Amino acid sequence: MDAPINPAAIAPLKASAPLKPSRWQQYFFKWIDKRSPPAATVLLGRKNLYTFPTVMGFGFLGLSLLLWVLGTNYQNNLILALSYLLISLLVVSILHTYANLAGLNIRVAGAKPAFAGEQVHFVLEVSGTRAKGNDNIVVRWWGGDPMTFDFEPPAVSTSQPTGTSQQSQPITVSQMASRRGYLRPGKLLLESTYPLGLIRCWTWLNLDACAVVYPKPLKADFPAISLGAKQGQHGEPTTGGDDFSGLKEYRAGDPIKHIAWKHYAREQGLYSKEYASAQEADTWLQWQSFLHLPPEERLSALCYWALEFDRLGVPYGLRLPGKQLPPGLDDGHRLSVLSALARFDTSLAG
Amino acid sequence: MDASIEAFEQHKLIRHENLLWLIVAQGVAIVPLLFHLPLWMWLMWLGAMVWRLRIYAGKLAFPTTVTKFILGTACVAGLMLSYRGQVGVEPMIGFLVCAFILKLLELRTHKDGLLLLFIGFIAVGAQFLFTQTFLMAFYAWASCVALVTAWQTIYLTRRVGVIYKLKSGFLMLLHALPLMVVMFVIMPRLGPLWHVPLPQGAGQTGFSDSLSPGDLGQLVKSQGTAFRVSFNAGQAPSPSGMYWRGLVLDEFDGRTWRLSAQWDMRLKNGQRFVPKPAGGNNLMDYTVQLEPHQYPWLFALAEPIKVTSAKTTRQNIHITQQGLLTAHHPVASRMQYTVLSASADDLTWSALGAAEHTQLLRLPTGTNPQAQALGQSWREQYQAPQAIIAAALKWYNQDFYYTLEPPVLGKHSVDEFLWTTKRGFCEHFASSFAVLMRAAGIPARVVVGYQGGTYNALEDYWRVSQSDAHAWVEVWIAKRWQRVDPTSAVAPQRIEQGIDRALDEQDRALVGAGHYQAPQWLGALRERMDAAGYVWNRWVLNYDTSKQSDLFARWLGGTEPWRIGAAFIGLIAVMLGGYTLWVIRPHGARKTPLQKAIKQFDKTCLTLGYRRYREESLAVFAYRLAEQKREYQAACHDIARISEHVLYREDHADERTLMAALKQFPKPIHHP
Repeated sequence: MDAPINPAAIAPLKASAPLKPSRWQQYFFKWIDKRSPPAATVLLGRKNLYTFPTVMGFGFLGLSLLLWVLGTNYQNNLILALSYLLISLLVVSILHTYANLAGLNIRVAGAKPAFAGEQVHFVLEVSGTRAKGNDNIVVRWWGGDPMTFDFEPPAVSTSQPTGTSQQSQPITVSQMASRRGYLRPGKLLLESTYPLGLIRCWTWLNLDACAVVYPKPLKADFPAISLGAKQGQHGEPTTGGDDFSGLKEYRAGDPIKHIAWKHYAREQGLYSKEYASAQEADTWLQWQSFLHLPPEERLSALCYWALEFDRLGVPYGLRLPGKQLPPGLDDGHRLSVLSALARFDTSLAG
Repeated sequence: MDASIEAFEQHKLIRHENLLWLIVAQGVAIVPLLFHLPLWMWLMWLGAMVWRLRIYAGKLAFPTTVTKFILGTACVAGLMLSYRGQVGVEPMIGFLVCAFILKLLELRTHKDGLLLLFIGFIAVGAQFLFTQTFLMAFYAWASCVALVTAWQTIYLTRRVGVIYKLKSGFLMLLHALPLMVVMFVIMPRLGPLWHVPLPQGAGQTGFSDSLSPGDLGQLVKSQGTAFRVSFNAGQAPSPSGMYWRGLVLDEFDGRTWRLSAQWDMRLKNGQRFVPKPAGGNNLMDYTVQLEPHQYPWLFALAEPIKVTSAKTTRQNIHITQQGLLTAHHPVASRMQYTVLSASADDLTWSALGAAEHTQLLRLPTGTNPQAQALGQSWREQYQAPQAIIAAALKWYNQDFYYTLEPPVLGKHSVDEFLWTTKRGFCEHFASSFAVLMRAAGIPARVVVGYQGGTYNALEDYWRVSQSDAHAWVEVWIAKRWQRVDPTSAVAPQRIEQGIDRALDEQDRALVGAGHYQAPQWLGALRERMDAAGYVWNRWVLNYDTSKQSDLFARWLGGTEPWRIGAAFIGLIAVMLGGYTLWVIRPHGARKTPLQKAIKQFDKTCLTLGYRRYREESLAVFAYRLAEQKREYQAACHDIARISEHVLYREDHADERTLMAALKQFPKPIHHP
């Protein structure tokens, strides 16, 4: 959340094909929704865990039957016993696989906001009561990337005689944010085939998780002329004043002392700093400044410049239709600007 | 995103630790089979292991498709050469083991690992085609533990110790065991679905179908078990009366006794004797559990009138004209059959045919002239067959000596034995006695089999070992066959007390060093082991439909399908219920004694009207309680103080004091 964000480092938005659950899965999800409404904390148990053999499980059953045929044909009781042992192992592994997930407690701890086109990292807190711990659990959001984790058994120590404390373990599960706004990551899949890979035990959880997704920063010229000019509240701004008001691409004839050398040194191109007169002391990011862009790109451009000013250390304000944030320059300000951009309803702007 | 998926797929690759476990598990499963397969497979196995480890080390690459094809073809060709193109169990198992070994070379992903383990289980099953002893079953169990442990490590990503892994693999199999037993006992048994070739098995043991001087002497030195017998009803005969007939030899060439050409073991089913209507007083009903000896003949007491074989033996048994038992095929796996024998007095015998009579008196001319002359002289002297027999036995009783290492005999073996060496073993006595009888005009034949047995009181059965091998004579007197054992005239101890009593020190040493002089505890242990093996054979290996129905009848009161089904479902339900409680226990982290004491303390406080909050430590709560309940102040302060000691000093003595204080709350603890 507090890590500096370099807009230039953000990967271009991937056009991910919209994932739609299959019809069978849709029925299954509907059924799950009926059984368990979204909650911030979920305890895994027989109400929400499902088990079914994997392909390998059916293969193993086939193997047991093969041994059974072998034992029957040779009238060999020990081979028969082995085939029964394997079938029993399959049955017992249902319980072991179930026990590996049962009793786990999943809590939504939060999410780091991210820019559209990035992965949003949701942090979940896992705790369990099983003395053996819980092994090799795969977790992912619907359509998201899977990750695996093991829940280490709580260390049995004499130093906690009350025995009530439960260590929990944070895990991070990412989901792709394709659009700005609020991201509801969808259902969370937890699955495991431990210990033998024959049985898959899984659950789809309705977790009450939500993350703010900022617009994807989009580089656009900052129209210095329009700085607050149209508002007419602060009089006619005059370029060439003392206060820094923005950057524009360098044109021959701009004064050399106005060149943004920092930018130049970073090989970001040659810009001239523009200074507005004293009447317009503050820098404003304005909805109206980017009217030539479609609304979403307008927000992206505002986002880009917000980050840019933040990086350059220039206090800036935000004016959106129906929302105004006074100029400021700190982490808190940046976050409120970014989340205002994230939450902005473009339909309000007409 | 692609990179992360790739990283995720990396999880599904076999790691080094998995690889070692898989190699170990494969080795454990494969070694018993390799002893039955061509020697080059050992090399192949070692080569594959080295190759795979080199791949891991990055020194070698995985084999290409072409290499794999060449290797596979080479294996098949090698098997064809080794077995000369035969199709049988061994080549099939050889093929399985080849696939098992070559799979090692393409072990990359979890799926490959699982396939390898699956073949491993088949290999464990294949071991049972060769050996089914208790020890082998135990070894197979150990192999399964190794396989399951290797299997679990594929999915285990945490770092845990070897012992932990083995333990969890073992526990998992242990959980599966009760269910297996239920299925084993209750699942219906079917007959063979189609014909399958049997393993060729080991070399033949026991005696062959001919008897020359010195044959049995070799056999007697072997300590192996020939068969075990339990008498189902009625008294077992005394060991001296247990003559287990195996083969009847009725043709003599001057040195060797053989089966006569007319005698056909398989077809003749018409018995020479039928039970008398009034008979049946002295019937003996017994079950024989025969170790495989690769011959078709079986063993029974005279005279068998009825025989039934266990289903698992898959063989029919016939009683031949000579009162012998014969199976359809050589006995290649352990076999069990039940025999009803009647004593000779209770039977009506049909007379000998003329051809048969001639056959039973025939002696090759020109051999053993002295013996033939002696027999003829007896015939003229005594007339009555009984008198002739008595004379012969008296002759033996003079200065013959029973020994395991008799001098080597030449062409006229009987003459040399009777007049020159006078030292011999049971086959010398039987052979010469039969010659004398034939010379004296009494139809006689040599019978080979076993005599006696060792009683095992633990499981109430008799063990007959190879060292009980014996030969005796049957003579046709008074229109029936009668047994005469010339050895008993010389060494009655042999018959009364077994072979170890009949031999002197020097010979005893020959009969398996240490076998007869074993310390008592070792003897007892051996007896116990043998009893365990017997129970194993009887209840596990020979558990079949009939045993199953007996069991159902005894436990369920009937064999109707509904009873069996109900019992099955009931047992499974009880078992799964038990598992659910034991394995799953959703919040079932086992509590330490201290945690239990704390729980008890919390309960006590709750009855007093005070609740300890989740986040509240024991000390904080105790101080709070002390404030509010003055009367418990002392006890509360103690608990608070000791719990802090436990917390900071981590001393087990403190822990015990705390437990005591918690348990006897609200009484204050006794200060020592």
